[in-house]
Amino acid sequence: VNLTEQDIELIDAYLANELTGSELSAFEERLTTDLDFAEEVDMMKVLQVGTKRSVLEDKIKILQQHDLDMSKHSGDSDRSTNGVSEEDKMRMLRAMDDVETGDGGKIDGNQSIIDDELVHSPQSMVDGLVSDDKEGKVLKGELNINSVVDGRELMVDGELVDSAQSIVDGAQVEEKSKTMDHGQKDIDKKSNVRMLYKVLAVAASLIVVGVMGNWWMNEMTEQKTTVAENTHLNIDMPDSPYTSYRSEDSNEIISKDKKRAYDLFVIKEYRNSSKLLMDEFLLNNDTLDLKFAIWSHLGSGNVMMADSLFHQYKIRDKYLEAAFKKLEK
Amino acid sequence: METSSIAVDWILEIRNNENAALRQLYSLYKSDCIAWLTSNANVQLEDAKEIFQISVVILYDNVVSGKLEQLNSNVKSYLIGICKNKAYELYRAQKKTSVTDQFPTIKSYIMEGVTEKEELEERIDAMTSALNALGDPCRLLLQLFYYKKKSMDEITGLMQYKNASTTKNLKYKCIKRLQVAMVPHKEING
Repeated sequence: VNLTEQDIELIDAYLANELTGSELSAFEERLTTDLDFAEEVDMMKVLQVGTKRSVLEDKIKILQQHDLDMSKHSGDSDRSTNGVSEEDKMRMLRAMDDVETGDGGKIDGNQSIIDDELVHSPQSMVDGLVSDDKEGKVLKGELNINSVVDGRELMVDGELVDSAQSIVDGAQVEEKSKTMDHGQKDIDKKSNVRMLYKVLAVAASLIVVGVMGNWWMNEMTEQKTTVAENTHLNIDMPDSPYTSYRSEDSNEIISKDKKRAYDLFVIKEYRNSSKLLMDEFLLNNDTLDLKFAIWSHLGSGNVMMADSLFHQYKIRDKYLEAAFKKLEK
Repeated sequence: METSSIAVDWILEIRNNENAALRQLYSLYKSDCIAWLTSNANVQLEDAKEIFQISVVILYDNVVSGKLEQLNSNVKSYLIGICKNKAYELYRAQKKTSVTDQFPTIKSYIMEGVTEKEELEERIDAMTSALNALGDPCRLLLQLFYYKKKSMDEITGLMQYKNASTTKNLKYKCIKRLQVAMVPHKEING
């Protein structure tokens, strides 16, 4: 039957017991003569029950989810403000997204509407399927609602929609309408907060890694120093004036190898230090590096090498001279 | 013991903030109702939970449909009353299932008299599936119009459409889509 918009309005009015007099008579006459139309009226009755069922199933889902949340968070129920729940807000926002609110209220590509398609059914109305309307009830009889989770059938009240008892809660609609913008803002705010949490979490992780790395480096250095000190504990090392970096006495920029050599000298890793200082000395012909190298040989117990260098290069250094005299004694 | 004024507040809560009110009712009375069902009606724990959930939804439906405008007792007693009826229905259904499982011919004999009801249930099943498949905004619009009895103007404001004419046109298109979706069901049950 190619129901027009007016037909649907008429059927809605009939099912809501709003038709009277000649309108009602004409409608009832059409019901008895036009079986296809009667079938569509029947479909509209089923639609009314279907909408009720879909709403109630939604509520069951909400309670089941709430039950799961209660199990997880021991009775933590999120109570929204402004009289509109988060689910409803999200649903309405999605609905708004799906609809172009221009003329005709067109729906987007995924939900294109078949405007003028005829739905013609050759079948006649099933006898007795249409319920009695004398008491103003849309449909009568028991209705089962299937629980959506495990498919178990639970009985729901036999009472169905009573057209005469329709209520229009204007205040609620107005309030909900007002909260649409608040809903969008709340969602934006929540996503911003989530992003902030993520950034903070990354920053906190970096700080933890940095602190742990620093601690580990300190531990390793301390361990190395301890080993070096223990190794050379028994060496009778004469007091050396060269216990600080050369850079502290001058503005010279020290190369990486030279710095490492001096670092080793300070922590009394004389054997390794002497090799590097010899290289530096040979490379740069630097007397000070030579003196450090001699001190390193002395520190590592290689007196012969120290003495050889001292005399070969005719070093004039009162501290080294004093050290050699002390060793000779 | 709640006073009736507090009980009426629950009805207002459901009207103004339905999902939050349902959650709150659920949290407050779950343990009492389930304890009552398991100890007084000899219902298994899982069944008791399901019965309690459906009872809260029936309370909601009674408020929305206008059948319940004022509570004469407290809401807990009202909920336990619904639970009691549902427990009895479950008991009857289980008893009936056990008999018909043993004697399938008796089942078919019994069902002969309730063909209309079965067909009606099938049609409602098909319609609900079609409605869910339709998705929002059609589903929401039809729910608001047919279940919550909102006017076109109210729905227009709620869904932020341009005007009532746009909403009416959309409703018409949604119903046409449902007609198309119901065609296969009609052919099967022709």
